[in-house]
Amino acid sequence: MKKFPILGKLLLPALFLLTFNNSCTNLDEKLYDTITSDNFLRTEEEFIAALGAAYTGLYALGNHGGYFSLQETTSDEAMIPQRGGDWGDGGQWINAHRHELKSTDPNVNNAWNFLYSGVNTCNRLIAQFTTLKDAGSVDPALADKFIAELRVLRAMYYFWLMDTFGNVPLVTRFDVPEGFQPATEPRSNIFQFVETELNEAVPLLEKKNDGTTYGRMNYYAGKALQAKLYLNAKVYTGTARWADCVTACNEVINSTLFSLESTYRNNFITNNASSKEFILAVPFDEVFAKGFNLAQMTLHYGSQATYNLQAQPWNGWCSLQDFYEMHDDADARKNNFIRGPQFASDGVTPILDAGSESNDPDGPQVNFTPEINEHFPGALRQAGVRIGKYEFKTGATPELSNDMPILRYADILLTKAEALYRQDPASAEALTIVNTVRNRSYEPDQSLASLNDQNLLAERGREMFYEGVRRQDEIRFGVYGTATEFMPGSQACKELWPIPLPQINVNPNLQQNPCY
Amino acid sequence: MKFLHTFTKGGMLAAMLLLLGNFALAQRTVVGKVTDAENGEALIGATVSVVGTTRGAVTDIDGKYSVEVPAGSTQLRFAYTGYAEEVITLGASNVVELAMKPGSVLDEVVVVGYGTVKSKEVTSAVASLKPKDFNKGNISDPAQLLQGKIAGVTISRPGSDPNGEFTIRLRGLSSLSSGVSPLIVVDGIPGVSLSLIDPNDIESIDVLKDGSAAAIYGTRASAGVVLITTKKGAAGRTTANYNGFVAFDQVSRRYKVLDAERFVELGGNDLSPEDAAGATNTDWFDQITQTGKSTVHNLSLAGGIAKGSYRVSFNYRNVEGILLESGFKQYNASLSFSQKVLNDRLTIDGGLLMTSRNQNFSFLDAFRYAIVANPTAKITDPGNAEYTKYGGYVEKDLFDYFNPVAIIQQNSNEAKGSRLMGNVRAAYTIIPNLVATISLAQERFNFSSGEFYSKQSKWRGIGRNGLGSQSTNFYVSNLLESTGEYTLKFGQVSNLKILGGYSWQQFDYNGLSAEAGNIISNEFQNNSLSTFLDFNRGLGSVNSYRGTNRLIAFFGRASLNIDDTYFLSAGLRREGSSRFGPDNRWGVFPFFSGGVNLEKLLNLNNVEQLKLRLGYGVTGNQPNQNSLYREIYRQGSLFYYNGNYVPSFGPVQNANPGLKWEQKGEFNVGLDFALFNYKLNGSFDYYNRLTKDLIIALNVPVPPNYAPTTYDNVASIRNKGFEAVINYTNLVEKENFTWSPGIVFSKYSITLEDFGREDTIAIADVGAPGQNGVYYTIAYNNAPLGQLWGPVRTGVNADGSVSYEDINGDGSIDKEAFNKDQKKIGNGIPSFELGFNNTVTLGNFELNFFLRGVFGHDLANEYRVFYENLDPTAVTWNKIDTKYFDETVTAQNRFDDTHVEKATFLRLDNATLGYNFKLPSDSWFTNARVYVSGQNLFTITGYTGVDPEPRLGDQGASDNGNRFSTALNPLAPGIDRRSTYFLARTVSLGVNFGF
Repeated sequence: MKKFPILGKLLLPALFLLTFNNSCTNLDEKLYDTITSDNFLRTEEEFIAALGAAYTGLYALGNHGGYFSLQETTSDEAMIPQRGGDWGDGGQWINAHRHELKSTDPNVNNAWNFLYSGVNTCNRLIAQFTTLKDAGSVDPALADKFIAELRVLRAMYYFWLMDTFGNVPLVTRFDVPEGFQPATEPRSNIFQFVETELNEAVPLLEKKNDGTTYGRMNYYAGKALQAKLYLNAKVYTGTARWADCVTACNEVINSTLFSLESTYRNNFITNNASSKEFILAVPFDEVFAKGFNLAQMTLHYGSQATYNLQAQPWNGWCSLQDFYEMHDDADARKNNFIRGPQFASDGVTPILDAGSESNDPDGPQVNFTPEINEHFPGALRQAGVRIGKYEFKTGATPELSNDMPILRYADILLTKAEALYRQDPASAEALTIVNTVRNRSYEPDQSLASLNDQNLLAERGREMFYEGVRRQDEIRFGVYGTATEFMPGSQACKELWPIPLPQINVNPNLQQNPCY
Repeated sequence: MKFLHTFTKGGMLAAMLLLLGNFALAQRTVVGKVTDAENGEALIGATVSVVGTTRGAVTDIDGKYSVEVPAGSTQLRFAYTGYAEEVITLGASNVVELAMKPGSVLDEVVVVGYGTVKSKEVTSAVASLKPKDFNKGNISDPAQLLQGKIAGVTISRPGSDPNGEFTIRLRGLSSLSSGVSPLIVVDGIPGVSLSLIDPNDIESIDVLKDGSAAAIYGTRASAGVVLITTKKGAAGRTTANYNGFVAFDQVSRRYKVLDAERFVELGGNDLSPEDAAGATNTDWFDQITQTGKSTVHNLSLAGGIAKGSYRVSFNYRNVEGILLESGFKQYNASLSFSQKVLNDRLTIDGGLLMTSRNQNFSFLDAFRYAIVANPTAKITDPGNAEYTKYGGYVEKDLFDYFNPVAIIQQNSNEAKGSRLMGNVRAAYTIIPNLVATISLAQERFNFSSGEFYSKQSKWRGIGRNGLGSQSTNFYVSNLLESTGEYTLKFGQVSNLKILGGYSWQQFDYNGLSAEAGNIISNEFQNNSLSTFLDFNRGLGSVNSYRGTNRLIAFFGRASLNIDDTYFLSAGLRREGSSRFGPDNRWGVFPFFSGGVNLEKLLNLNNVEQLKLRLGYGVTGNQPNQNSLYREIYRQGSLFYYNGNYVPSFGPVQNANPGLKWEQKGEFNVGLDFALFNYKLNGSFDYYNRLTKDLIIALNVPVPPNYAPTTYDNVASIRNKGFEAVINYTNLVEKENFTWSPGIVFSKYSITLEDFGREDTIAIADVGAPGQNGVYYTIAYNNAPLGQLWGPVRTGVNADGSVSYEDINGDGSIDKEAFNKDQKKIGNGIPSFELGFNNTVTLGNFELNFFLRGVFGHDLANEYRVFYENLDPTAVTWNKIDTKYFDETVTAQNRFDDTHVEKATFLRLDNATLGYNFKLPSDSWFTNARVYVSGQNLFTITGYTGVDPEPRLGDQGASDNGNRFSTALNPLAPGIDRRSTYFLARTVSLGVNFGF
């Protein structure tokens, strides 16, 4: 050692350096709880899980804010008045009901994002499934079936886009270049796309309606969608398509896979998946498929005790007096509304609202009155009948277990009737169909003697309350701009919603709709 | 005394050891005594080293030493903490006696990354604090020691929550990620938690402020580096110390709300109609607060034998807050040792730090609901059937209304955590002036928390028929670092130091949490989750996570000191993180700084130092989560497929393999000065820094992207600022009386130069009730950060409504659109901050008081935003009764300029009066001191909220029992949300003995 003192002194650090040569620059990331493109889409189970993303987006239909909320609150059947310090929310609900939407209203952007994220998820999955099919890593029959389903689902999102925003970009593929900024297309082009897609893809769907297709696009859901498309064709393109509408309806009706439930209410109870009327429904569940929050949205804070709800409701949504009074007392559908004094679950203890206003003529006991004293800012906390169309289960969580129909057999019946009526206002078949649907809710029957625009729209209103079609119906019947209690009347151009400003900011090729 | 006797033989032992290494034939033994120049007392434990060798000795209890000096060596270096180091050239005599003089501040040791330098050698913006500079009083978090003391470091914890965490921001903002805080380095171990350290055990805190100083720590240094050095034992002296105090916290500021009589008079809803109006007058605030009593004990023992030293310390803290039940109990122990072996060539030191803390968070929300709780309501009314279901507490079915006493009494919110860090470090002198070190450390943290909400609690409990949760979290970090340093000396004081090193650190974490409701009985609280029926019904929730990440770095630095006049330092760190994709894992962070002591060149009168410094450095920041560069799929809602619910997965984030480090380039120029025999000293610093490539979640179009989010390096922020520190030692010096003032000043601006998007966005939603879609602030490119934005109130109409200014002059009022009738109505970032420290001695008394002021910032006072107007639809909630309260306003509440208040304040942060006993020389005690200390003794401010402290980030909105976010959004400063724990005034009485 004496001869190599330096060597001896360096031995220790050198030994140490040897112990960590390999791993000393290794920065590879070890994943434990994260799913990435590297470890996903390798089994059939994962393939199905990927498809799921296209449908679960629809769960947003059940909650507050966005597409469905705007469809409802811009119509004459629902609103959220500003109840003093509550529900002002920057004016967005007032704007919606007065047909004075702004391109900056958060709801408008939410609606746009909901619809395009649906479109884009379908586009993405079609592209991914095609790639997997071409690579032979998935059963091609399964892939083709899923792709057809996705095309029809995408057509439904475009149908909604055309219905609400009207002139929108048409994106149908996924392999677009970086920086792709699709331009606005006229409403009629969107119509054409939806029509073509339905014609091509619906025949590829399963002609079944059972547990294997529940909650998803089957052949009849595609046909029902087609019927709704043709029903409103004149609004979208200027050209009526009544005969095509009837043809599509007949495909659904003649399948005999659907029928009217004996009572209207059966369609909207908790665990209503067995309804024979559902052509396409969102399969909500308090555990598995969360998102249906209607009890929270519409009930009064104190109503928590009526239904023993697990969370306190928000006291927002209600219907309007004129709409409510369109129902006579014999009509079972009047139960779509919760009105009158409210009691705890024992049925006798009154619910008291410690926050009730001194100018509330009903005093502290919660009493849902049809009349709403004003739209804003001082609507009474208890004003307005509440939306009770769906059963609120005792002890419910904020996530209801009632499935929510998107396409319902009764709607298809009324659609057919209307298409017949448009072609022949004296159509006996049309009158029979309308009375069939109507009389289900009357005991004894109270048939209409004849059809006219007013009673047909009213009948649709009663039957289809809170199913997201009222705005569409009002537009088709030409009364959307007619003043109602809290809507001072609006121009025809307000039938379309404004293109959201945040979208225009990131895509200058988008064109704002007229009068916004 | 036996071991001291052994100790005097240290010289002999050293001589024996020397035989094993390099030895020269002609050597001599030099002996002598080292004393204090002022009082002649012997200095025990001073080090005497032979210049140019590793040999040395330590003075004994009589101040005597004996050292072997080899042939050829001609100088001895004498060093002792607090005294000026001296180098004595040996003459013929073998006896060298030295009277050491107290050192100047320029000789104080400053800890920089991977080493220490003398204060005079510092070439970048580094602040160094010793215990005498620390804040005093009831302090349980080391961050609090520094609050207001360091120019450019903002330490903020609005309110006095004993469990609250301090936000530490250095020179403004350096990242848009939430939770960015400085890198904490404890005794050389980077990335450890501050809560390991008890404030009693801290020897010094050094803060590396600018890029040139911090860049040696590369990637985690963008928000600055805080280096903590713990107290160590010293050979030759065995000391024991006891510190203890008892402190009392009392509510210092509160909101004024209406009392029952006035509440009813103004139309409030009387909830006790059976009594005479106003007869039930509940002061809810009194009902949820207490005088918090805290006790703290610290006992330490430090000493050394031969070539080793040790210190052990034990701390106990039992802290109570002003909110009922809030507080914690903490046990902390630390052990450190140092030992020289192998003929002094190898030094091994290490330590063990342990903290275990049981926390009771209580419920901060109680403050919020105490403010709005109806003053006519009773707390409990057991006889009233209406309240039976609430366990007798008076509750009402109102939105966002809860009985604050019930919140605290019916429920629980507790946690237990324990943290442990062990480290060992070996430093080996390979050849003279070349030292290699290797250091290993591990930190472990276990944290378990649990909440319980009773079946009868309206607050989160009754709807779920009782609710309980538990979570456990584990964290481990392992560190390996190695350095080599070579020192080349030339001339008397000139030297070149070259440092090279390697660092490897891995972090592993995992956790599990479960929550469920529907319990059989309140009895088991949250301890028997399996009996919670929610689990049987599928309504319970369980979550788990596991992750790991790693940092690896190589670094080097060369520092040159030419004749104590010119100083240069340059180097770089190359660092890689597993959080980036393979393309850009590694980043290079260079730095350079230089200084020149002009005094040496100019020979000015009365000037001891006038040093100009210049530095530039690049530091980095990695994202606060893993895998941001990957395409990630996440489970969405379940999907109904063939009659069953099956999982669905979709992409939530696109791949970006090019994701790279956020980089901050910082230029700093500074001037250090010491005048009049060091009595007046301080520094000025100006900096300009651009942080670019900030990572944000970018909204990207789908298609072509799979997911709407890609993390990318797009944004940039510019901060500029000026800082000044001026201290005057003994500005007034009379017999028995001295006064030493010091000032700390800082000022900065933050500009969001590039936000990654062209448009303006509104941020920080005000929230429910009624103010969703209403925002406090906006952000856009080139905007100064922290602008509060909203409509401007012009008056109150006869009907009680409010009118607003037509800002865009279009003849109509659109107060909801930020680009129409809204404008800037406040600024959340302070204009400047000031600290004013004073030490006064009078005989044996010492008074220290510290005033701290923050000037020019505004706060949006959210209690007023929600609870000020006499809205006839909200007659049950109580109202805030500040000077702004206007009884004529009956409009619903809506945020506007009247809710934005100037929040400039000046606060007597703490004042401590101590008495040092003069002890006889034969006393058992070496020192004895008693003191009384007050914190937050007064605050001068026009702000009507409880705490005008700046809010550096936003917690977001929360209502009706939902939770505030724990991650603060740095883009929205200046919002006083309804989450602040109220402010306490603290008085502490303490004793301190050394023996």
